[in-house]
Amino acid sequence: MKKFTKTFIITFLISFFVVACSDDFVRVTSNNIDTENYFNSEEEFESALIGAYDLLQSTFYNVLVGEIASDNTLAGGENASDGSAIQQIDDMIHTPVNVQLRDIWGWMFAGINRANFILEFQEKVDFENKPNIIAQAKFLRAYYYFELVKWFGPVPLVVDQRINFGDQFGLDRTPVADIYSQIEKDLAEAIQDLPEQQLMIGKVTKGAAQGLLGKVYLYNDKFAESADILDQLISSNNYDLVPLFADLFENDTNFEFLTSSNDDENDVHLDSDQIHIEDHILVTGKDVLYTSESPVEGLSSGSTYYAIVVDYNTIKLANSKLEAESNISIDLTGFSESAHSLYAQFENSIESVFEVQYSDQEGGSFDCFQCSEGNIAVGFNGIRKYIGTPFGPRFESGYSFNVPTQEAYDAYNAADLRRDISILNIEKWVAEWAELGVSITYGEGNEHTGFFNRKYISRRRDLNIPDPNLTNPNNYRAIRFADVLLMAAEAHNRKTNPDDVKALEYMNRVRTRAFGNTDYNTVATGNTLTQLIWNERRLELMGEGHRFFDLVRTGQAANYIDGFETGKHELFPIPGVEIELTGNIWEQNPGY
Amino acid sequence: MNKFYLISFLFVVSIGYSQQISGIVLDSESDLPIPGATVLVKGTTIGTNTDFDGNFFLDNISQGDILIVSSVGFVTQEVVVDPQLNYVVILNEDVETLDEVVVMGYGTQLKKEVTGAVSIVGSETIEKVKPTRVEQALQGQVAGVNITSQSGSPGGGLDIRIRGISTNGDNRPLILVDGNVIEELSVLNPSDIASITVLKDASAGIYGTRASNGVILITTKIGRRSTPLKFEYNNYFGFQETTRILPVLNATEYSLLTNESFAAGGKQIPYPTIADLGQGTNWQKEVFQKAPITNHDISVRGGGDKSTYSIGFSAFDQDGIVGGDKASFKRLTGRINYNVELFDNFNLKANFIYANTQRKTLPENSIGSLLYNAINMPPTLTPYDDNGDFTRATDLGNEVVNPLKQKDLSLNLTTADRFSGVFGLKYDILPELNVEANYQANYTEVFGQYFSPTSDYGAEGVFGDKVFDREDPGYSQPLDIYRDYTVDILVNYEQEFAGKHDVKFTLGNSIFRTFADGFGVSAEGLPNIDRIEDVRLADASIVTPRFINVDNRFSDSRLLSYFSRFRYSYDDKYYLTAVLRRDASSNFGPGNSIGFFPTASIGWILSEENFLSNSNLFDFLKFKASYGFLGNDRIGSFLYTSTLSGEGVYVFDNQIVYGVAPGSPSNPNVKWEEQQALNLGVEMRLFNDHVNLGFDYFKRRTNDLLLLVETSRVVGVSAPGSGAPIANAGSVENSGIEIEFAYQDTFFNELDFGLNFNFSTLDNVVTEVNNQIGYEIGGGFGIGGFEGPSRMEVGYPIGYFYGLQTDGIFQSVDEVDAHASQRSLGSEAVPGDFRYVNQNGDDKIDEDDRVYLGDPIPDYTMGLNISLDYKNIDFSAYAFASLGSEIVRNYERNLDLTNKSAYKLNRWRGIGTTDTDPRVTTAANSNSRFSDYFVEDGSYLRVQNIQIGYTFSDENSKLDILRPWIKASAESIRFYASVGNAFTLTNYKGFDPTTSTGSPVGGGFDLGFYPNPRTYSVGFNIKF
Repeated sequence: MKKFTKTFIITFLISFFVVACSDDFVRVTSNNIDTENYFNSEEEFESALIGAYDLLQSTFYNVLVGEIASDNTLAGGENASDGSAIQQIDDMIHTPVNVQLRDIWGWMFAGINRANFILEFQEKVDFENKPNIIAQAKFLRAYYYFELVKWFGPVPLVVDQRINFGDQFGLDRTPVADIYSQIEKDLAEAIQDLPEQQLMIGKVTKGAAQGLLGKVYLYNDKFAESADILDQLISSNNYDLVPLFADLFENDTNFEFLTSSNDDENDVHLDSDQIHIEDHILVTGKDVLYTSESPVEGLSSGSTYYAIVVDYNTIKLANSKLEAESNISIDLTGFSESAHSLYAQFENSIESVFEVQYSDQEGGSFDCFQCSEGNIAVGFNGIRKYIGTPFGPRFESGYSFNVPTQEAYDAYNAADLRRDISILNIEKWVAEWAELGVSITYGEGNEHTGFFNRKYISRRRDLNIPDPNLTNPNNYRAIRFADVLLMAAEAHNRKTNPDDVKALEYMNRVRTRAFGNTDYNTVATGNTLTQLIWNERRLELMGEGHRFFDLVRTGQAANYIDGFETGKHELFPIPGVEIELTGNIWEQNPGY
Repeated sequence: MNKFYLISFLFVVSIGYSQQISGIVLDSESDLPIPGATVLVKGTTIGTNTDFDGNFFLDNISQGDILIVSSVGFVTQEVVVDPQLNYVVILNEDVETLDEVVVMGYGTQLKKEVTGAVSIVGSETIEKVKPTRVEQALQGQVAGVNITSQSGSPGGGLDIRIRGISTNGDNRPLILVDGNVIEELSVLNPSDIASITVLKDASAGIYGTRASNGVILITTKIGRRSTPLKFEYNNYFGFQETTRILPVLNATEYSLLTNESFAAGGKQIPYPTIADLGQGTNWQKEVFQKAPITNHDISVRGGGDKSTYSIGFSAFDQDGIVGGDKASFKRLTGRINYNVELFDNFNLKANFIYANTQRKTLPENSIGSLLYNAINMPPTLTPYDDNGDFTRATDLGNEVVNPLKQKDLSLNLTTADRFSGVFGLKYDILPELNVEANYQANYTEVFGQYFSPTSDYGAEGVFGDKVFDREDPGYSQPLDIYRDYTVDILVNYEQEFAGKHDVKFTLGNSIFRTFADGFGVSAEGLPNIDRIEDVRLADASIVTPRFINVDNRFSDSRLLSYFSRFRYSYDDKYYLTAVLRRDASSNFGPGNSIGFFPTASIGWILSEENFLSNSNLFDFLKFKASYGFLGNDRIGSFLYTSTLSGEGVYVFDNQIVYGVAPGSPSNPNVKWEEQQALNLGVEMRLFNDHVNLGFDYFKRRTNDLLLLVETSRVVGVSAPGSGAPIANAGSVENSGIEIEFAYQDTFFNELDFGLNFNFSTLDNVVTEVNNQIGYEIGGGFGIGGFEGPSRMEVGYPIGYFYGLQTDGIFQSVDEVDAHASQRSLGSEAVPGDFRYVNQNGDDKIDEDDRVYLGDPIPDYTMGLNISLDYKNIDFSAYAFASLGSEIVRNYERNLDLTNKSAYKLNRWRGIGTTDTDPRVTTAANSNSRFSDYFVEDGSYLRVQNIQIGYTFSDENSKLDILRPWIKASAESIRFYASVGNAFTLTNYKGFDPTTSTGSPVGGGFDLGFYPNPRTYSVGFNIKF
C-alpha cells in the first residue's frame, strides 16, 4: 500500500509537470502595450501625440548649431577641442563624421516616426476631436521634415507609416521638391482642422501651421503664396507684437516669495508692502501674474499686477499700469503664511505663434540629451563660471558656447533696444552691477568675445535640478509674430507683383518696437528694401537659429560666413555611417 | 569522544587468526570514524558495513583474503588480511583523483568517464585562495576561464568568460548553485562551496539554449550520513592597501610644465613664482587609505541514520582602499542543507540560502570618479583651504573636482536580500531506475538608497560649473524585485548488460521562469544628511513614485525544455554520450522560439587496452572528443515584439505631461544564436600518478550572434527611451588550446609537494557582422573625439581598439609641410605635435585613417599553484598571468590646468628632444585624438596569494600546547597568515591591468579603475 502511494505520488508529480508544460508556457505577453494594438480611444491618440511632440525638445541642437554655423556667433566652449564637431561646423570644416549632425538626423527622424505612428492608425477609431489630433500630427511631421530638408536636402520621405527595423534598406532619398510638396500638403490640411486656440498652451494652433507654411513657401521662393498665407495669419488678429522687446525673452520675474520675512534663504521676501528681490531689475509698469494658495490680503490669485520699482532689488505692486506709473501701490500688510509667486508672461505670449515648450521640473543627464525636458542649448550658451558677491544677478553659470561676435553686436544701431536684450555685453553688465555694489566675476572660455546670446542663456533658478545646464525651462520661440511680419514683408516685397506698401507696414511694425519710436522706420522699396528686410531678420532674430538658413536660401552665405564654399556648404553632409547603414546607395551631398 | 578514537588509533585493534576479524575505518583528514563504509571480501559476496562508530566485524575470513573498503567520497582501499596487521583502515578523501565524482548537468559522473572539457575546482582550493567572491576562486585556476574584475572596490563585480567571448551582448555563463540558477555570486559565501564544475564544451549542451557561454555548476557542502556533529569555525582579518600610486607631477614640475604650455599657447603664465611650491599635494595619497577586512564563518555538519545536514553562517565585512566605509561591502549569509530518506528509497533534499549584502559605492571608473580626480587634481592645491573646508576646484573642466569632498558627499547604499531554496524528491523505483523532481526558486529584493546632497565643487555659489554640482538635495529609492523558479523532472535509468555494456539514460523536462518588477520613489526637498542610514523619506517635500516603463513589470522570460541523455560505455574503455535538448524560449517570437540542440562526445581509455596495460609511463591515458550545438537566448524579454516602452514626455500648460512612444525597434525575426563547439582532448596520469596532464583543443563558432546592432537612425533608434534593436547579425570564432598540468609527490615522508599549472591560448576573430557597415562600435575615449574607438569588425578580435597610428613627432615646419594636413582632426599641426600615419594615402589625416591598435583579449593566460606541507607547516602560493592584451590609458583629462602624468616630463621641447611625447600647449592641437599613444600592453603576471599556516592537532599532539587557552575539546586548530594580490609585474602605467568594464566592445578603457587591493591577513580555523 505504501509503495503504491509513493508510486502514485511520483507518477502524479511527473504527469502534472509534463502535461502542464506545453509550449503555451512560453507564450507570454509584455505588460507594456503592444504598438499594433493601440489607438483605441481619444486618450490613446492624445498619449501618442505627446510622444510625437517630445522630439521638438530635441531641436535644441538645430538652434544652437544652426546659429554657430552662421556669422552671428562663434563656437566657444571651454577650449578649442570642446565639442569638436561643433567647432568644425563653426569653421566650416565639418565632415560626414559629426556627432551633432547625426543627432539632428536621428532625432528628427524619430519625431517623424512618432508622427507617422499616429497617422498610420488614424482610421482606427472615430471621435469628435480626431481631426484636431491628426492635424497636430501632420504639423509635427511637416516641422521635422522641414528641419531635415533644411539641414540635409533630399532625405527619404515616408508618409503615414513608420520606418520599422528592416525597412531602412532600399529607401531612396526623395527629391527636395517632393518633400516640400508633402510638407505643404500636410500644413494645408493641418490649417483646415486646427483650431485658432487650443485648450492647452503649447499645442499647435492654426496660426502655427500658417506661420510654418508661410516660411516653407518663402524657402521655395513661392512669395505670393507665402504672402497670402501669412496675411491670413496676421489678419486673424490672434497675434501681436509684445509692446516691449525686453518682455520677450527674459523670464526673470518668475519667483516665489514666502511671507516669513528676513529669511535669507529666499531670494524674495515680503516686508510690509514691499517685495524684496535680490537680483531683480524690473521696469515700472511691468505686468506680473500673481498666484498663491492663500493670497495676501489685497491681492487675488491669478490676477495680473504691475510693478513699481523702488530700487534694484525691491518692488511694490500696483493694480494698473497707470497706477504703477503714478506710484500708487497696493497695501500688502497682513499677509498670511504661504508661498506666493509672481511671474511675467514672457513665454507663450501674444507674440508666440509656435513655441517649443521646455520645463525645469525634471532632471537631465549627459547620457541622454534627447530625454531632457529642459532646453539644453541654454546651459551651453551660458556664461562660464558666472559668479557674484553678494550674489550673481539674474544669470547662472554655463558652458560659454555660441558666443556672438563683435561684428554681430556692432550690427545694431546703438539706439536699437534689441541689442542689449539679444546680446549680453558682459563687461558692461559687470560695470553696471559694480555701481550697485555687486561684484561679478566670470570665466573666459574658448574664443571669448565678451558677448553672450542673452535670449537663451541660463537664468538664476532653483528648480533646474540636478544639473542647471541641462534643465533650463526657456521655451524656444520657434515662430514669433515678428518673424511672421518680416517673412510677410519679404514675401510681399519679392513676389511677382510686389506690394512694398504692405512690406513696409510689416517691416516698420517690427522696427518701431525695436526702437521704441518711429524715428527709425524705413521708406525704402524694391531691392533696397529686400536687403533691409534681410538685415532686419538678422537683428530681430539674432541668436534664434535662423540666420544660417536665411543666408543660404537667399544665396548670400558665402558673402558672410568665413570658409563657406558655395555649392557645398548649403547643405550639411549626411552622416556617413547613415549612408552605409541604409545600404550604401545614397550619394553624399556635393563636396563632402 | 575524540580521545576515544585517539586511543582506538593508538591501540591496535587486535584480532586472532580465528575466522573472525574486526576493525575500524577512519577518515584520514579528520580521523573520525566512517560509518556505513562497505567492507567486501574481494571476489566474494561476503561483506558488511561499518557501524555508527566505524567498526566492522567479519566472519569466515582466511589469511590472504583481500578486503575492499569503500565509501562514497573516499578512495577505495584494498587491504590484505593478515592477522599480524591491524585493521585500522584509513581512507583518504577523494580529491583530485580520477575516481572523483564530477557534478555534471542533471547528475554526476565519475571523472575518468568524462568525455567533455570539464574543469573542477575543489573546496581545498577555495580554502587556500580565500576569495572574497566565488569568481576569484576560478581566476587562474582553470584553463580556458578568464576572470576580470569590473572594479577592485568591495563588492565589485567580476566577469567570467569561458573560452572567449562571442557577442557584444551577454557573455555570461549559466551558473547553477545546487541546480538553482544564481547569477549574482556575491551572495554566496565562498567557504560554503564544496566544488565548482566548469563545463566548457558541448558537454554543456544538456542546458541547450542557455549553454553557449559555458555552464558553471556549484555545489554547496553537505553532511554525511551517520556522522557525529562536526563543527568548524573560520576567522580571518587583515588590512588592505593599494598596490600602486601612479607617478604624476609634483607641484614644482606641474607649475613648470603648466607655465610652458600656457606660454606655448600665447597665454599669460599662471605660476610666475615657483620657488616655494615644493612637492605639493599628492592627491592619490590623500585618497588611498588602509582598510580593514574581516570574515567569520561557522559551519556544522553531520548526519543521522537516514538524514544528513549541513548548516553554515558567515559574516563578511570589507572597507575600501578608496573611501573606507564609503565604499564598503558587508555580507551575511545563512545556509542549510538537509537530506532525508523519508521512506525506503525515497529521498527528500531541502537547501535554503539566505544572503544579505550591503554595498556602499563611490563614483568609480568614470570621467570624474574619485581616482580620476586624484590623478588630475593639481598638486598645487591643498585638500583643505584655510578655513578647513574642502578646497574648491575651479578651471579644471566640468568634471575634475576635489576627490575628498566627493568622498564626503557620496551617500549610496544598495541592500540586497536573497532567498534561494531547492526542494528535491528522488525515488528509486528499482535499483536501476529512479525519478527525480526538483523545485528551485530565488527571490531577491534589491533596495537602493541614493542620496545627492547639496554639492558645490567649483566656484562658490555657482551650481553647474561642475557636473556634480547640485543646489538642492535629491534622493532616489528604487526597489527591484527579481523572482525565478525552475522545475526539473528527471527519469534516470542505468543498467549493465553482460558485465561489459553499461547503459545510462536520462529523460528530463524543465521549466524556468524569471520575472522582475521595479518600484521606487524619488524625492526632493530633504535636509542634508551625513550618513545614508539617516535619510528619512518623511522629510521630503516632494516624493515622486517611480515605475519602470509605466508598468512595473520589466521582464518576464520563460523557458520550457525537454532533454534526453544517453550514455554508453563498453568494458570501461569506450564511452559515448549523446544529448538532445529541445528548448522553447519566450524571448523569441512564436515562429522562432523552439530550438533543438544535439551534442555527442566519445572517450577512449587507452590505458585499459592491453597494449598499454603494462606501460611504465602511463598510469592512465584517455582520448576524448566532443561536438555539438549550443544556444543562447540571453536577450531581454519581448524584443521580438514592438511595445510602447519608449519615453514620450512633453510640456503643456507649463506642466510635464506623460504620453507613450514606441521603445526600441522590434525584430520579429530574432531567434536563438547557435554555436558549434568542438573539443579534442587527452588526459593522462604519469609516473605513478604523480603527474596529471590534460590537453584540449577547442574551436567554437558562434553563428547568428544576438547583437544589439548599429542601425540607421531613420528607424527611430535615437528617440528617448529607444535603443538599438537586437538581431542575429554576426558570427565569431574562438579557438585555442588548454593545458592542465599537476604534479603531486611526497618527499622524505613528510614533505608534500604539489604543483598545478594551467595554460590556455585564445584566438578570437569576428567572422561576420551583418549590419551593412560590417562593424559595431562601442566605448569612448576622452570627451568628444571620434565615435567608437572600440569595434567589433570582421577579421579582427571583438572589441579591438580603433584609432590613429602615430609616426613620431613633427620636429620641424618642413616635416609638417611634407605631411598630409591634420587640420580635419581639429587644428593644423605644428612642430612638437604627433605625426599621424596617412593610412589611406589621401591628402588629409582624418577619421578615415584609423586602424587596428590592439585588442583587450589576452592571447595567453596561465595560472600556477604551488603547495608545500611539511609536518605541521603548510605553504601555498598562487599566481596567474595574462599576456598579449592591450589596455587604453584614458584617465588623463589633459586640460590646461589639470595635473599630468610624470612621463610628460619627457615632452617635446625642440628639435630632436623626443620623438614620442608631444609638446605641451594650451593652443588647439590634435594630440589627444585617440591613437596608439594611449594604447598600452596590458600583459601582467600577478602573484595572487601567498599563505603560510601551522596546524595544532591531536594527531600530532601539538594541540596540548594550546589547551590552557582553549577550553573546548578542539580537534585541530590552524593558524595562518596570507598576502593576497602580493605583487604584479606589468609595464602598464595605470593602477591595475586586471580590471575591465567587461564590455565586449568598449571594454579596456581605463578611466582610473579602482585597483584590486593588496590584502594582508591572519586567520585561524578551528575544528571540533
